[in-house]
Amino acid sequence: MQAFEEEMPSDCIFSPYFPANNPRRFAYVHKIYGASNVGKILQDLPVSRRAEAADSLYYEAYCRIKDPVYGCVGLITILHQQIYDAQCQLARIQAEIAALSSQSQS
Amino acid sequence: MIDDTLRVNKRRSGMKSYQEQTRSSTSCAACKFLKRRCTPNCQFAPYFHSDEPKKFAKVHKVFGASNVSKILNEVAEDQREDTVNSLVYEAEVRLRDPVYGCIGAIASLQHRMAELQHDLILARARLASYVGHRPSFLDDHGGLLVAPSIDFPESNSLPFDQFGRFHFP
Repeated sequence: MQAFEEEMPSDCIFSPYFPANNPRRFAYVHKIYGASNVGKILQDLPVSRRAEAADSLYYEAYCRIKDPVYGCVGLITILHQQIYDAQCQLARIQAEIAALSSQSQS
Repeated sequence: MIDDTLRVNKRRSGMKSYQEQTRSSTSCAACKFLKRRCTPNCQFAPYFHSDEPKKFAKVHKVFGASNVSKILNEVAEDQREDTVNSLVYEAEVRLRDPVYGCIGAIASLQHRMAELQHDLILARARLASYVGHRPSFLDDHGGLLVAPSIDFPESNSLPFDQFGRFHFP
């Protein structure tokens, strides 16, 4: 919150999740989402879910800063491809096992 | 004098209807949403067509127009369409899941990948046993005696561990 250089009111919605000793956290979400949008997202959630939401917003902002074109969607694409490749590999091995198993039985 | 006033009003109303026409018939979805005149070199027009109003509404709700503009300015022009598509996707997922957004999807995919890696290790070991080399951690029926320590390959830059837990930087 040092980005705003203001004294934080005690009822600030950001302060539990964006402490002053970790300025990078808020700087990242502010850069990508803007303080007002982050505030609205947190405001619409029950208090018990806000810490997780703040964490995920920070991580998505981090991914977007690292990769402005794809952000964390790039990772989703990579994971989908890896899952598909692993499923193909598994299917091939299981087919080999089935073939060898029927050979050994006959 | 009355004629002059009428002429001015006619000119004004004519200009107004030209502006309205510009805004309504040629405006991109972003400018329509923002209620502003869409210029020929509008940054958003190539990516937010007037027949897709919800697309811009979603990214605006999550990121805000000025932040989208800044992100687009940072990337090369030939990458802007991909950038917009990924922002739209991220915004949609965040609106569907306001707590976890895309991170929830990533954690779920990582967990699935970990399961598949485990299945592959077992399948390879079972296949090896048919060739004649039964690994010591498999019983006579190919079941697992002791869970091996599994080292998942570093497949991406995400700080996830093998249990699908992400570690924030």
